[in-house]
Amino acid sequence: MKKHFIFWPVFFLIFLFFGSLFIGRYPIPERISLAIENEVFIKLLTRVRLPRILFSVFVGFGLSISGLIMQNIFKNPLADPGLLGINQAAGFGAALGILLFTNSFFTIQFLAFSFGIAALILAILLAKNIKKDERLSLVLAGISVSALFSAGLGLIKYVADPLDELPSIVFWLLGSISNSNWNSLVKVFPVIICCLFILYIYRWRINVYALDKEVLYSLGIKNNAELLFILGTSVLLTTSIISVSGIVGWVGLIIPNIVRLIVGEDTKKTIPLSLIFGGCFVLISDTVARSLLPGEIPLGVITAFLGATGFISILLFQRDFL
Amino acid sequence: MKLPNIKLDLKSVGYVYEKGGDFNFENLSLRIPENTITSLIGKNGSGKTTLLLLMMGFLKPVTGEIYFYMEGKHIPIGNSAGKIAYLPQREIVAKKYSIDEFLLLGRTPFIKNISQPSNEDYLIIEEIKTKLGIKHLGARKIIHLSGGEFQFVRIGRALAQNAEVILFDEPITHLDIGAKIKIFDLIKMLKAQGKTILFSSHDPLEAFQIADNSILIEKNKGVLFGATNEILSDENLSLCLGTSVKYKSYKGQKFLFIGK
Repeated sequence: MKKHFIFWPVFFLIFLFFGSLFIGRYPIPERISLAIENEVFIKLLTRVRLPRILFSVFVGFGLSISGLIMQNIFKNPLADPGLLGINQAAGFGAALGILLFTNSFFTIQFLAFSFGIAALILAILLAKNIKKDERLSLVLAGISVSALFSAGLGLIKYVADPLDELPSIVFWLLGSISNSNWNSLVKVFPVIICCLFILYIYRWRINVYALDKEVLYSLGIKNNAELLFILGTSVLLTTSIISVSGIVGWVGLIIPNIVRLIVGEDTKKTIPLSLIFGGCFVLISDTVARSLLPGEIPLGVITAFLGATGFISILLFQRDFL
Repeated sequence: MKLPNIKLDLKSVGYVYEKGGDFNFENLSLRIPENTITSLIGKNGSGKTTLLLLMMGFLKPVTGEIYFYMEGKHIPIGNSAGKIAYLPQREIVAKKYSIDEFLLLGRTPFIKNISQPSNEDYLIIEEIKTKLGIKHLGARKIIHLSGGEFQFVRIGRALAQNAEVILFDEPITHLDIGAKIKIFDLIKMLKAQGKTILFSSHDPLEAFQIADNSILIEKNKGVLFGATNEILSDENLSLCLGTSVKYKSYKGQKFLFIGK
């Protein structure tokens, strides 16, 4: 029997998931019996590595799906929360939250989401008023919006307390999930899982938005309500991840583009596959981030390095990319 | 003789193109009979596309109303979900869709927004491909089709949505001759299957070839509607196209006669 196309990717993700539990700078006990007796090792696995690995997989799920959906809705393979300015805006919102309300989790989430949505609206409005090629306009608008919020972030860093708030803002901005634990995950998981579920059940429907609005009308889709709902859900997904993980870039750009190269455009296939590839990508990146050097490398640095390298090779070797 | 049913009924429709601009259409009444081919002829920018968009309900008339005939009664055009297909002149679709995936999009009115296409949907797509003779295109991507092949696939999408009326914006303009003839044949076949087809063009010859009726649009002046040979007279065309034209008949076909 022919296996479903998703079989091997899922298998690979599960393999990575359990494999990475045993990768790290704590020495692995030589025998299983020793491992079971070793309380420190068990605690390390269940309280430190397991939540972190689980979260890294969901960061990958969420960011790659958001990127894919924005690329489909904007009909632009370069649309991604990073390039549209949503990441920077969410970062600005969350940093503002850290500065003003230090530890209020939901305020930080709310600010990240509000600024993320605001950035998206700003980018769309701006793009509509740039009289250039549509794809170019959106990217230009995104870059400008992103720069605006970067400037805002700079200001926040300047006024932050250099001993206490500044280091935490800076490290968080570079993207890191090193302090994920069950307590913080429990808060953010319900939102992430709900968003992922909603976007997953729309996995065929999203295809139709590749068509022109007149054609959509003739197919009975007469307003933007559903489109805005899907878009809002993916912004919420991105910003709630970012408000915990910091700015982990490139996942939403590189993964969907690789997936489209493999299985084509149909979102019924690209959504499940982007989920899995995204999960693998961030899981591998985070495993490298925590185990390569004695100190922790920010996750965002690794994803940016791998993502940009991958993107450059697509640009160079895939002629009909744009 | 039984009078044909009126498929689209435009009742004193008025429409302003841009706010504060002239009336593009004023007090326009048209009755498009069922199961006919109608051409919309006019210069570029005369409002052909606007009229098509009004006919599908995408643009709302400022005055007047448009009705659609379905299952024995006339209903407002806005409620005709899925039954009027519109094929824009330049349609840019994400290029990595395969033909099957693209055709399936036509099934949208029948697939609930959070469900997946059923086996029946896939069967319908196969039937349509057989009917249009595009099976040989196989698993090719939309981007790799020629202009004519893409028109076939788009008509396939209109069939997949089970449209009764097909509004076709400049279907033939940019095609080579071989593809033109194929599209003519296909449009005739669609008529034979009971569809009502409207297409726009700036070339009256296309209308002479296949259109039963024609709508001649002169920008901001008026709209003529009737049997193609009556409406597209040399006099009317010269007036409307802004240049003196003569068409001659030879063995039942019309040709553009250039010179004196």
